[in-house]
Amino acid sequence: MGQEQEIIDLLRRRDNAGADALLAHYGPLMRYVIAPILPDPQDQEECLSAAVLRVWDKIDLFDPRLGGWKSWLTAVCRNAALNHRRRSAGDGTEPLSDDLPAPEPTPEEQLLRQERFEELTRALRRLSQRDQVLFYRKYYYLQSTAQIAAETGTTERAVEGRLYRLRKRLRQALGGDGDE
Amino acid sequence: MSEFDRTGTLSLDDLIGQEPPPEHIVQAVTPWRRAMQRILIGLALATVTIEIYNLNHILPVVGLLLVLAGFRALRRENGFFRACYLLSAVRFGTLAVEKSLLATIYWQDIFALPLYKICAVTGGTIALFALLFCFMAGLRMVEKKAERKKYSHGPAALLVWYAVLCVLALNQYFIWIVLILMLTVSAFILYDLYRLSKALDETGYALHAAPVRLPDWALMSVLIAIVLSGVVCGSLFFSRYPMEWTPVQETAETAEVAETKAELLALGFPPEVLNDLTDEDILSCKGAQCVVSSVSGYSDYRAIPKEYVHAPGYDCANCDLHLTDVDVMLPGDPAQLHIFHHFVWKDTYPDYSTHCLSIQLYPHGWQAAGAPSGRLLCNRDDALLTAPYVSSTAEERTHSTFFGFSTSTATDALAPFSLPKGVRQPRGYLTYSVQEVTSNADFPESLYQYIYPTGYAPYPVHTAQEYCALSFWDGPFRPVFDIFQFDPCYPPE
Repeated sequence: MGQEQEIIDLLRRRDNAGADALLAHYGPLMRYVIAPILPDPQDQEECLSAAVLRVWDKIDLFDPRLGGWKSWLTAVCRNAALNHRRRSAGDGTEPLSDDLPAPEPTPEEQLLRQERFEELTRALRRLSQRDQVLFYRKYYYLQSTAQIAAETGTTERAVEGRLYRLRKRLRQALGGDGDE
Repeated sequence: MSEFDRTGTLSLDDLIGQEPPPEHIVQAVTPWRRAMQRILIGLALATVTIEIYNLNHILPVVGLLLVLAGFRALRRENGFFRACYLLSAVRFGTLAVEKSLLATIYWQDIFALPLYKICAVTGGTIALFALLFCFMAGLRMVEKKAERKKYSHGPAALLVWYAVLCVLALNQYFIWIVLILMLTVSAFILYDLYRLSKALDETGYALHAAPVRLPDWALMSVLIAIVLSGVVCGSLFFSRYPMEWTPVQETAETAEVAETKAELLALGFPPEVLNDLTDEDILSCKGAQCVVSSVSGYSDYRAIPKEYVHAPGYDCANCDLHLTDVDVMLPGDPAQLHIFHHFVWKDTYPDYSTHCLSIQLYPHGWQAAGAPSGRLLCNRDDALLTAPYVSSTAEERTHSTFFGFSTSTATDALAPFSLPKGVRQPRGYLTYSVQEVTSNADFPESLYQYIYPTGYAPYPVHTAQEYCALSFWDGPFRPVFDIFQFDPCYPPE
């Protein structure tokens, strides 16, 4: 915690040593989040630089009361990687916001999003810790089934089976019929 | 893409994508922690020896399984971790063989074999040090890759700690203060390794986890099943002696044997013992001058046996086990005694594990003539079966008296055996001769013990013979004994 706070303070003071420390200490974690979304090593390095820059720019938006440092950092990296992928693909969709939470939605949008978010959060909380981790690995960090299988010490087939059951349970929890 | 995936992905981009995941999820997702936690917990379990409830056997197996699973995930990371994985597999194999052998009565003999010693040292000690060295080198590579400026000394300290432990073990230097010091140091080393693991985990050290065909839980289940089946097979098939039971050849009784039997019966030789003797043993008592015997009966053999001492020929209806001692005075100078120790079970008897007859002869001026002999008998259907003892040897040993103030020399004889299942009245006897070597010698005394099992063999397996030699009576064996002194018949009237 001490080193983490030290890096955050350096970044908030706009001290260049903060960016160096961020890369030295959290570089592997940032690479780990970016790699499944951007398989090309060159894209990964470009995205890593962009992510460090965004952390530098948006550090004042980090509020420890809303979530942990590593959660915020991985969210910035994930969104940076997704935006990089969209730009590279040239699909013309609007890039994801780096502001967490997203800035200034209309009150109606905010209410609707909040309701849907709470509904999904409730459904996720009813899952076991193991299934929650699997869900975030697959749908948030966008890891491949092969990567999840290797890192959790199981087979791809077993991961696929667990994801199938997980989707079914979530669909039921969100008011669906549970069929694929 | 299914309907859920479309809506699910959209929902995530729209909803969860805008909200960071909970901190505990981020920590669980990073890949390094799981593997290192397994290795560190495994090393701790394999190091600690707690000699209660067989934890000294269970914990190292569980510990090595965790170490194996940990290195399995890391084996693609670098060559040293791959070597660690192979070495932990070798160590686990060695441990599985050792744990299976401990469920047999032969483990002490096998452990003493030079070939086994070489295999055990290679698969155990050498593999352990090679593993610790590779672990140290592998971690150093990881630290280098994670661009850590200051390397941890924990892995090297762990290697040195094990080396010191080995030196202490070889010199049998186990005193409390040293053990407490070693445990404290090991706790510090493991804490240092935990801190290293945590530091690497915080950085989200990008592990190259190896894909697996068999999930970790399945691999662990298979390995546990292998160890357990080894132990169960050892217990079922090798926890008792292989006895050679053969039918007794029916031969016509010679006139000389019949005459000697009649003489002995007339002198008071118990008929239930006489009927079990071989013709040679009966003829060795030819011309007997005097016979004296005593019978003890024991009931509740599974609990604390209750003893009923009674006169010869008395039938103790409640007794499961009868011990009979018979002393036959033979003619001639110097004086010679022929001694028989007999046991017989009723139909309820322990048909598992191992048994042992033990004789401690305190000669008091007499000398045993040769090793004891005898045989085992039982009835199956209409057939009478016999078997020799596994061995019957005699040796002179010095025993302390109860308070340890003085010692005396005794001739010890041990005759181990196992009883078959589904037979009636399993029984047997041991016999030996003593000769007077000092004129006006005192009477010889014989401590006759029958050590039988009260339950299935414990783990690791010990035999009744080992329990008898060590005088351990707080275990799965119980002794019943009889002290027999031959004075009523000497000198013969």
